[in-house]
Amino acid sequence: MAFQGSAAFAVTVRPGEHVCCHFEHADDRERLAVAFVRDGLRRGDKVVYLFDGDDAAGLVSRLDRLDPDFAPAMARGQFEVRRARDAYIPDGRFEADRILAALREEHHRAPAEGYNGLSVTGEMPIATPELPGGEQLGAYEARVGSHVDGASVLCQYDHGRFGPGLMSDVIEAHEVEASPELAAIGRDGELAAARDRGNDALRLAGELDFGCAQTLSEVLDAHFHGPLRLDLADLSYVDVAGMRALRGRKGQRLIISPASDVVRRLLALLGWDTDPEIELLEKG
Amino acid sequence: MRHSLFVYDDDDRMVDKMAAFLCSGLADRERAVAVLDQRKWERLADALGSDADKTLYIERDSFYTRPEAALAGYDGTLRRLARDDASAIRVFAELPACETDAQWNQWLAYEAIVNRALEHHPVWITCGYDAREVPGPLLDGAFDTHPEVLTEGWGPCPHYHEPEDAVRSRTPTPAPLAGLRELPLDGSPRGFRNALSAELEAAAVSELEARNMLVAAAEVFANGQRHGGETMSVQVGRVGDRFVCEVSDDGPGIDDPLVGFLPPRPGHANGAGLWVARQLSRQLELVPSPQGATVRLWV
Repeated sequence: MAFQGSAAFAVTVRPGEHVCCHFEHADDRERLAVAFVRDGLRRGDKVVYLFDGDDAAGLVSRLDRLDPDFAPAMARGQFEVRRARDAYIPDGRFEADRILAALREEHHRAPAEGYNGLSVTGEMPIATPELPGGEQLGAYEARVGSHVDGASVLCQYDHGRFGPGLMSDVIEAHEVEASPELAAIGRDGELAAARDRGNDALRLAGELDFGCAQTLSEVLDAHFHGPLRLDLADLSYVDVAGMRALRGRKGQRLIISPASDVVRRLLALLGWDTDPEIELLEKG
Repeated sequence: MRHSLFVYDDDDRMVDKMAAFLCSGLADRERAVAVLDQRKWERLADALGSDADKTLYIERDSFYTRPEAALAGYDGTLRRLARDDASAIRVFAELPACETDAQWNQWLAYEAIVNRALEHHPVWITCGYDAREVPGPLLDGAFDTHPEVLTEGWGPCPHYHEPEDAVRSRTPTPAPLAGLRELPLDGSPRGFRNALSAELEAAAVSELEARNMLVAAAEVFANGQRHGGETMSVQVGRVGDRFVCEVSDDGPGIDDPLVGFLPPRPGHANGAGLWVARQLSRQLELVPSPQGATVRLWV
């Protein structure tokens, strides 16, 4: 990947959502996590990054290179990088109640400290499934949303380390999911994809142009059959080749809801507004 | 589609002939559309009687703002009528009054383009030319661009030319522009947009025009990368109170004067990018160049 500042990374996470990023390649999650941190800081949130590993300094220096705003935010305390193990498994046990209580306290403290809200992203320690309580991960994730309603939470899971059963429980507990099969879409940085599980929609964010159209088209071909529901509210740019990539096989029905203004404009210019295979809904 | 010419010099004859044309168009599932100035529409509506309510009236001057918009307007109207179950559509329309020969030539080129742009629609368009308003030599142009003419009855128009020839002969050759600057490119579409965006901002182009130019130019750039040659170059700058972006490639060049004038159709993959570019820019010109293609956009 060519060097790009964090400003170039598209993000599929919306404020107040509980999102699962399960990944096979560390780069894929880092792109999303960096964009998540950037957006949180811009919104005036307190941002916490729970880092699983020993080289926190390495992470911080990578973040620094990506975005000049990160270091000052750390210096003033708006952005904190902490050890994930201390948060999730401080004594070798995974206890949902303990983690949720800490999260909740953080959530209450953020406005008291003058922030607009809380954004947390955590790398789930890969040791967790083997530890006492590790089997509770899915149940824990299912409670996160209601415990910190309004906070933005991005959970990072190394896809191969958690076993298919546990992973599927974890995914089930999130509203939105950035999965390995969608990761190729995001590798240019300018476009990102996630599944909105609640609305059964593919969400695309960022800029969709002829440079990334081919990859998108291949991913859609491989993984999306039958009617395709698209959430294009966060597409800030789209061109003709990009719109074409959204149309898979002939006869595949597209339901677009919601759509950004740029998407609506291009759709009308292309005459898709009267296409019987395309449904553009006003609201999501 | 049918595209017919009707030249008249008194209102009674116009009303008589066109009421008959539109009324007999109003059979089951057929629809009628009139694009006229208010005064002529009122005369016609009187004659249509209760059929006037079933005729979609569109005010002429707000519809014919420029050829690109009129093509999109017809295409959209016809698509929507077809979606709403119209089996066939009859249109009676009159072009706006022009002040200069250049304006007339632009609209006569448009008349030629209509023959290709709307050919797939189940529509019969009759264009009224009021001989009291249209200068004589330009009336000849109307005979060049309509395959059919109404005299006593409907018949083929012997002066009809192929649309490509009619458009070429009425489109002035754009002259080179001085004072444009080379835009630095990194080969990526995003790099192109970022560089152009910076220029638009530096030139204080309004937000709407900048946004339109960005999308239009990106489509031309994409088109050049797909069909053009190896090397692209882009020149930009202000010309008077307009902003210009010229995209050049060293490919085979663009020979078709109708490029970008044909509305996108399902199953027809090519040309949609330049259609978008024409729709969003004030003007798109094909600039003669010794090699490859140069497309000039104005906002």
